[in-house]
Amino acid sequence: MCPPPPDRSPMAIIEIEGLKKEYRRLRGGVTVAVAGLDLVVPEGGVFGFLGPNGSGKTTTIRCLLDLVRPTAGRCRILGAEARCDLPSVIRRIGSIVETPALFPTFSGKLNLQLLGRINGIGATSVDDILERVGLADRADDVVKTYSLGMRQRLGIAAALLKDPELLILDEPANGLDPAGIKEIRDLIKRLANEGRTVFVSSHILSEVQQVCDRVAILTRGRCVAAGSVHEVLSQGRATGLFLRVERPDLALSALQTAGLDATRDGDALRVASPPSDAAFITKVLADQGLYLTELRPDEADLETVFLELTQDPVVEEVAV
Amino acid sequence: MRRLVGVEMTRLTARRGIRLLVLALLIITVVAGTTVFLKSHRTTPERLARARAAVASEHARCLSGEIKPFDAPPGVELDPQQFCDEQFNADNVRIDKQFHLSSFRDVVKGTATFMVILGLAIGATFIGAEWSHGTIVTLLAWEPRRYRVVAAKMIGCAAVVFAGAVVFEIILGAALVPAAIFRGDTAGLNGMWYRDVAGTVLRGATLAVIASMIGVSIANVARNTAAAIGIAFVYIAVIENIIRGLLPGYQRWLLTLNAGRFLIAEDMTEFPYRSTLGAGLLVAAYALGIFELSTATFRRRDIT
Ligand SMILES: Nc1ncnc2c1ncn2[C@@H]1O[C@H](COP(=O)(O)OP(=O)(O)OP(=O)(O)O)[C@@H](O)[C@H]1O
Ligand SMILES: [Mg+2]
Repeated sequence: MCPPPPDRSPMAIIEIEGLKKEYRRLRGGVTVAVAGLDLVVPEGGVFGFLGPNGSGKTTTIRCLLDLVRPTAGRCRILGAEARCDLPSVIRRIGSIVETPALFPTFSGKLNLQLLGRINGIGATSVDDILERVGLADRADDVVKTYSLGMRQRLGIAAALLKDPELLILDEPANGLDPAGIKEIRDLIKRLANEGRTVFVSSHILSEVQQVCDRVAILTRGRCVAAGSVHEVLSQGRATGLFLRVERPDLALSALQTAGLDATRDGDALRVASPPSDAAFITKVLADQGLYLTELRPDEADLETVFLELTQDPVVEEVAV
Repeated sequence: MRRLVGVEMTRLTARRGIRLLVLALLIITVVAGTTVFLKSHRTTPERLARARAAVASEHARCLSGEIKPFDAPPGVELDPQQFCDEQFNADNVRIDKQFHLSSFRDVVKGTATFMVILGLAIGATFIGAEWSHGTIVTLLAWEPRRYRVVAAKMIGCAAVVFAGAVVFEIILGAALVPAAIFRGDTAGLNGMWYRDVAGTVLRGATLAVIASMIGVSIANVARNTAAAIGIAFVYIAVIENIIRGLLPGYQRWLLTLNAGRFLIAEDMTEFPYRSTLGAGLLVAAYALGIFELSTATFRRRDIT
C-alpha cells in the first residue's frame, strides 16, 4: 500500500505531492477542498501556510496527520508516509488542528497529564509546560472556565508537551486579542529559535509576515505562490516609488507635467515607475525647488500580494 | 498499549457523570438497605395470634351477614357457612414479613438488567464525548493507530464497568445484611447459594461489559452519544419485538433473549434453544462482531 520513499532532499520536513482531497456531498457532487497541491517545507524556521477561508489549509493539515484520506497524491512528514508510517514519527510532531480540543470538564492540568501519560511524560513536564504558556495559576481550574485565549494557549501547551521537532499550528491566533496575538507570535519565534520547525497556517497575514521565514499562499486548494517572504512579495504587482515632499500638491502637478504616472496618497505620493527612474524624479522636483524628505521603492506588503493572488473570479468548483 | 488503557481508565473514572453515578448508586444501596430493614418484621407468636384473631373476627362478621359474597354467579345460592369458612380461615393464616437474605439472588438478577443498561450508556458516552468535544483528534495526535485507540478505550471501559458492577452488587448485599440479621433470617445460605449468587453477579457484570462494548461500538460510528443510545433502544424495543412476532423461528438468535438466558442460567421453557454457555458465547460473539465492524469503519472514515 505504501510506495517506497523516493529520493528526497534530506532537509525537507514536509513534502506534499499532487495532494487532492474531495469531500463527497450528501446531495451528490463533491467539494474540492485541495486540488493538486505541491509543497515542500524545509527544516527549521517558521513556515507560513496562508490562504483565505475555505482554501484548504485545514484539510491539508488533516491529510498530513492522517485524519482524512487523500483522494490522490501523497504527503510525507518527517520522512514518513502519512498514510502508513505516521506512528513512527508522531512522537516528534506537535499539532493543533482547528481549535484545540480538550475535555471541558477536566482541569487544564489533567487534560495534559492524560495526554502525556500516553508517551510516558510525567507530571513535572506538564507543570513546566503550563508555566511556559502562562497557565500555571489556572492549571487546576476546569477548561470550561478558560477564556478563548487561555484555551488556545492550553492547546499549544498540549502540542509542546512532546517537545516536538515539528509543530503544526492551524490558526493559532484565532480569536485572540492583539496582545494575545503578539504573545503567540513571540512564542512561535522562540520555538523556531530553539531549532524546531513551525508550520503555521493563518489568514491573518500581517501577523504572519513578521514571524515567517517562508510562506506558501493557497487559493481554492492550489498553491499560488511559495518561497521566502521576500520572493513572494516580489511576485506582487510591479511596484513603483513612494515619496514624501513638503508640498505634495505642487509636486504632484510637476510630476504629472513631466509625464509620470503619479498619484496622491495622503500627504505622500506614489509614482508608477521603476526604481531606476528615481534620479529623474529627484531632478524634476528639484527643478521646481521641491526637495524630497523620503524616497523608497513602493514594495507591496504580504497582505496586498495575498489579496492579489487570491482574488481570482470565483469559479464554481462543483463536479457532479 | 497498557499505558493507553491506564489513561482511558483514569479518563473514565475522572468524568463527573461517572462520579455522580457512583454517588447515586451508593445512595440507592443505603436507601435499599434502610427500607428493607424498616419493613422487615420477624414472625412472633403474638403477631401471628393477632393476625389470626383479626381473621376470626372477620369470620364472625361474615357469618352474621355483614360481609356478603360479592361474586356469586346469578342463580347460584352459596352456603354462607361454607363461604365464610373458605374466605376467613384463621388456621390458614401465615405471615411472612421478614427479609430472607437468600432472596438476594433474585435481587441480583433484577439489578443486573439495570447494570446492563448503565454499561451501554457508559460505553456510549465515553466515546460519544470524545466526538462531541472533538478530542478524538487530540488523542489521535498522540496515538494515530486508530484500532489501538478504540481498543484501549474499550478495555478501559470494560474493566471499570465490570469492577463497578461487581462492587455494586457486593455493597448492595452488604447493605441488606443488617435487615436479615436483626429483622429477618439468613437461612439457606449454603455453599451452593454462594456459588449461585457469585455466578449471577459475575454473569451480570459480564453482560454489562458486553453492553458497554456495544455502546462504544455504536457511538464510535454514530459519533454521538444520544444517537447511539437511540439506535440501541430502537433495536431492543422495536426490531427484536418485530422479529419475535413475525419470525419466531429466529428467536434463538436474538441478542436480548440470549442475554437473558445467560443471566438466568436455568433451563427456560420459553427459550429452550441454548445452554447458558452457548447463549453467553453467542452474545459475546455478537458484541465482538459489532466492535470489529465499528472499528473497521472508524479506521477508514475521515475525521473532520
Ligand atoms: N468535512 C467536510 N465535508 C465537506 N466539505 C468540507 C469538509 N471539511 C472541509 N470542507 C470543505 O473543504 C474546503 C476547504 O476547507 P478547509 O477547512 O480546509 O479550509 P481552510 O483553509 O482551513 O479555511 P479556514 O481559513 O476557514 O479555516 C471548504 O470548501 C470546506 O467547505
Ligand atoms: Mg481552517
